[in-house]
Amino acid sequence: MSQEEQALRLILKTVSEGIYGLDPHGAITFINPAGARMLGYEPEALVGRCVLQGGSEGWTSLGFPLEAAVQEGCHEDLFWRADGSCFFTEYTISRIQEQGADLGAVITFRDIGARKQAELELHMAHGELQRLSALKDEFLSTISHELRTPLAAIRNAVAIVAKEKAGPLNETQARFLSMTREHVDRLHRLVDDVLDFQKLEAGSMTYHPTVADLRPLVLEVANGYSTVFAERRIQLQVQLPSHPLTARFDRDRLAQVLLNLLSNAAKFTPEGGRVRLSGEVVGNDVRLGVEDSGKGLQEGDMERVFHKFVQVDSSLTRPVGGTGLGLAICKAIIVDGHGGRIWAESPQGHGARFWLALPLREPEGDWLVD
Amino acid sequence: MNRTLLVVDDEPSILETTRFILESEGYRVLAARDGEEALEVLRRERPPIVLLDVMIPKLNGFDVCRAIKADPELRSTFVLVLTARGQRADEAMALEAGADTYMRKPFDDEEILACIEAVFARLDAQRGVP
Repeated sequence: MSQEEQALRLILKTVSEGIYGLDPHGAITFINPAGARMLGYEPEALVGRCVLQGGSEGWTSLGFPLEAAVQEGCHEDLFWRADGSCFFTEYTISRIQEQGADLGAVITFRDIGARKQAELELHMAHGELQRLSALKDEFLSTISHELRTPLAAIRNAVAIVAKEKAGPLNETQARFLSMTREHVDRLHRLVDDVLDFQKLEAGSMTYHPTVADLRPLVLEVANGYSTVFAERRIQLQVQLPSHPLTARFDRDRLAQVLLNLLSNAAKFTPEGGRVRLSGEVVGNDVRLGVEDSGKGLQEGDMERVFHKFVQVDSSLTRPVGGTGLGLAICKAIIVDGHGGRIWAESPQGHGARFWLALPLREPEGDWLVD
Repeated sequence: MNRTLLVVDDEPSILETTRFILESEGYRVLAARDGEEALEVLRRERPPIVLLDVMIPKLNGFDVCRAIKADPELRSTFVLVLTARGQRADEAMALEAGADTYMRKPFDDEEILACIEAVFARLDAQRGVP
């Protein structure tokens, strides 16, 4: 035996992969010890055996004749052991040809059971996570709905008493009831946020957009919120152009976004401050802005404020509550729901500015045109 | 005209507060806790307006609404369906079931009173009450 042959034998004996050769008819010409061990045979018991005749329906799932069966390259399949059990393998087939004649093939295989098991476990863990995530969504949805009913009842009951429909109140009673109302409303908004967030996560938020002028909506939202500003002695300026700001939008959802931006502005602006709500056409966009005279945002917070659960709090004049979902919801509504953009700016010493841009549209169904 | 309305809700405290709000404005309020009871009261008392919650036992709000609109005797009842905010599919469902209008919960007392006042005014006008 030549030195080279000896070296080759030693390699075949030592490698951990299984290696076997096939003749053109599919009979095994040799198999290395690792291969035989994996298959549960003595090497001698396999040599000369046709793959088709072995094991349970052939101990590999290869079919023959060789020309038809052999697809060169890397495959994954089940190989059968002598005892009838099977295991996952990754195997490579290389055909052996010499001067155009088919001399057979050499197959290298290894047991990938552990990897398959890990893959299976990963797959199951993924499934479990998905199940838990769906469960979380369902739980959030249920709990939000369940929280709303008692909240609605409290709201009604407090309104009855606060409006003195159940008898006159003294000043202290009225003050505490007003506080109760404010907090019930706040709790309500938080529950709504959680429910909206759950919908966004589950991808079940629906939009009903129409093409319309944004100005009436802006005015309506500003008017609806003006008492809050008045109570906090913050001046609310509304600045709108004389021409329409036409865009395609879902009225309720856009009102929700504006309300959220205004409510943030009110929270972060000290008493005696100023908030400006404006609209304009910039290029092909309708742009709405909410600018406050609060302490503004840090450079790094400009993006972060739109992430869920993020609150830019630090040292405010008064504690500000919230779920940290408001702006994340705004962003989803504007970007995903309307194909628009929303961003924050905070020029040094000028408070925070939030902008949203929606694609400008031509007015539809304008029957007043001559 | 008969200023009676039926409020249908399975939540007793909602029922009671709504009743109080409406009664303090001089309306006569009937109450039902589920869909079947609602139809019973409607057939017996014939209130001109019904405030109908969607999520009620036995027959849900939509089913009750359909039953009202399919019944020649009850068809003229004004049906106001109360939907939960954020359940906008419910609004379309309500109108499809034949509701005359819907209102989102939670509603303000002013809101519901203004709506009911308007409906009674319209019913009065239809019946030629000055």
